[in-house]
Amino acid sequence: MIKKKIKNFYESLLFEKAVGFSVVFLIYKFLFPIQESPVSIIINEFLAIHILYFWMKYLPGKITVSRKTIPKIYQNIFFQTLLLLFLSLIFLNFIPNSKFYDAGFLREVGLLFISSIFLVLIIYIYAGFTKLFFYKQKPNAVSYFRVMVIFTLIIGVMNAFDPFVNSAAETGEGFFNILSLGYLIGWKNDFENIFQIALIIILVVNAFRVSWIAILNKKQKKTLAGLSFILAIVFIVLVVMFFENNKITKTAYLFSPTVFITSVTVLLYGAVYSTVVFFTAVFHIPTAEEADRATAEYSSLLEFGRMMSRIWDFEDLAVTILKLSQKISNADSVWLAIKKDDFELYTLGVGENNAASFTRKFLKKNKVNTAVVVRGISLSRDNQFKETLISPIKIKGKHTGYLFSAFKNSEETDEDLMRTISGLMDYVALAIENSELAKKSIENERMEKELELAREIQMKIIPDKLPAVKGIKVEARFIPAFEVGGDYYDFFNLGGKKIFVIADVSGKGMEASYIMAEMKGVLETLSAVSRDLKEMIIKANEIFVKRLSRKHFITAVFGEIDNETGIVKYFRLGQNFPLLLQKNGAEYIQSAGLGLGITASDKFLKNLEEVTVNLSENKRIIFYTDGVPEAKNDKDEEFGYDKLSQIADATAEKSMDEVMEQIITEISLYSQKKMQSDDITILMFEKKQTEK
Amino acid sequence: MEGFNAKIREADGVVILSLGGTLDAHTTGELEKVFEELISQGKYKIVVDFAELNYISSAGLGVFMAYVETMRENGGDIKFAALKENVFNVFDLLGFPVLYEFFDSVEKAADRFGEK
Repeated sequence: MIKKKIKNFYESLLFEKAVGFSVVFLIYKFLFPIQESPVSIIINEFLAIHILYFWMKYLPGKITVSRKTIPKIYQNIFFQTLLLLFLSLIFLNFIPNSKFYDAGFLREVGLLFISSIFLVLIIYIYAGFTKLFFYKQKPNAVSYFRVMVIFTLIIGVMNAFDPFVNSAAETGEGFFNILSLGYLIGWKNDFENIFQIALIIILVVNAFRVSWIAILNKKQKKTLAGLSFILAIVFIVLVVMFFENNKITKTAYLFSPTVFITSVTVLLYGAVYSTVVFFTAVFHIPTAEEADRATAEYSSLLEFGRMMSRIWDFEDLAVTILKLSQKISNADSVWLAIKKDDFELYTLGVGENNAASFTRKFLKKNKVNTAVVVRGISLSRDNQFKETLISPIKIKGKHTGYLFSAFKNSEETDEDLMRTISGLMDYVALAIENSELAKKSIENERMEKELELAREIQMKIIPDKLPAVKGIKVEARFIPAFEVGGDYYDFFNLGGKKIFVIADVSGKGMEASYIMAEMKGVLETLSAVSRDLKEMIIKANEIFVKRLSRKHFITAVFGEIDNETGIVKYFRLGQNFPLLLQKNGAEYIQSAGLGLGITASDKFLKNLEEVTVNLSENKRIIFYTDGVPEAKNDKDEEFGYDKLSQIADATAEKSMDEVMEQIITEISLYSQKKMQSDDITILMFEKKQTEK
Repeated sequence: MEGFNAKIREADGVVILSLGGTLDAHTTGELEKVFEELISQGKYKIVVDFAELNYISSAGLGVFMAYVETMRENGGDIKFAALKENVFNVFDLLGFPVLYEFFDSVEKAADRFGEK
């Protein structure tokens, strides 16, 4: 009963109590500026600890932490700390010592005022750190954090009651010299020593809670690296200031030893934490594994595809779906509701029983035909969700499944996420249909579904429109084979230049489409972090040698367009020789170059040959995949290279659109009696005629 | 449609693997089986005779990539001999001659094993 009351006291009306205790403390301080008797020390520290407690509990609750606000939280810590440093320097240098030691009413008011401002800043900084500390941490983080707080309090209270401290505080000399050394090396008794060492250890351990850095994008990480570097230095300067015998430490000690020790701990934590943040941010910037959502999405698709062809059991499939969508959305809990007789639930991060009754009720009451965000859902005491994204899954034309992604924090769902999850749900729908077919063991239909999925992935990966490049005309055609052949083309930006890639991954069907999905993810990331095209190619090769099985490889051309000069630079990596239409006829340009993913040895680098073509001096350049020359007629003869160059010659004066039509028509005619067995991709560039 | 066939003979501790017909996505499985069988018998020195092979697709190339390293790790190799021009061009385009050894006759390829 009493226990409950006490608990209630410390958990309700936080703001009112924080203000209340602060006011009482100020009045008390006016009446008894210096504490001499044990009783007055007890009252002083009792009030001080309560002020700390209520403000420190109240304030973090006011800060919302989400993907969007995290950089801001760190910025705020930065500015508050700078302000603290600024005020400390003013206090140290601009208040004359004579006034400081001249006891009297004015001095007490002044010191109290300064202490309060310092305290407010320290509490704000603390609140920011708490939020960062707890972002996406497991429940055990709470106990780690509590240990840190308890140790701080113990050391603070020990300081408050040390008779030596008190006599020194009274005379204002002697003890501070010892304190400065004593805090670290332990100057009182072994008992306190142990707590100090333990506090420092736990403080360092706790400083490694930096999982929030992973969600930042590259630019934010760069800013963070800068801020944390400065911040680490500022915190160290502040810590040193707070260790020395000066006006600040004396003032703080007079105010309350517990508050002083707490402040030092916060500053010390800030110094260690900022250092950790700095190194984490720096090491995160240039890696190819950067946790870009785009990469996560594509590699998830890849994983998904792999699972799909193996999973027959619906429950396994559900688990896969849940894990992947959680990986993409970062949701705290996800669950899947599939309509059978009633809604059947599959859950991750939340109990099935907890989610079931809400979900069934909700879905019976509401029709969810497009993705919606529902705010404020309470499933149980531990499962309070501020935002829940509900994405419908259309199976066989009907909405019979729903994915719930629930977030404990607000502002986690945005348009991007909704689109990404909806995209994933299209595949999930196919996967569910697929597994249902499997159950009925209709092998043919399953194969067809699998192909359909492979084709959908391919179509999603290939850009749906051509990029606008100033001064250069771009034309592309892609004709998929019935069985996905693994062709892929794409455009990226790298250091202000337009990069184009035309590739053919070995393998067919699902297998090929996973590799393509992976390739797009890898290239998207690499184009953001590479210095130039060559570096991008070398890194891509290293990744593919590792990622692809021995029998798989990728042939490609990677090129770069300079729209001002009309110069195209490219590297041919095992793909067919490009066809250059010069003023006096078409010619295949031969160059060295190994395919991607074959070898990581220096042979790859040695054979990397850059070819430069000036479009101002030539008519156009044609890149294509092996589906063009290897198209077969009914006698199994190949279309060949000569026919292609003849068409290019004959159509020299036509528009690229017409050239494309001509090539494709001729290939279709040639292989009309044969099913197209490989994808066909053609990419063309020419310089725009400057209008006069 | 033309089929695919593979014949094995041995000379001085070197396996001569003669291929014929078409090697594409549909026939690679047969060739994989042959290589698996050779590895299980501890035979790693292999000369592939391409004289009768009329066509190879990229899936066909993959088979050689998959097994060359295994042979090399065990002190052997796969050497490529007597390729028709169109077949060689497929290997050449991908840069295979940089990584693996090509010969115009089976004898020269087999002798190469003896040199080391």
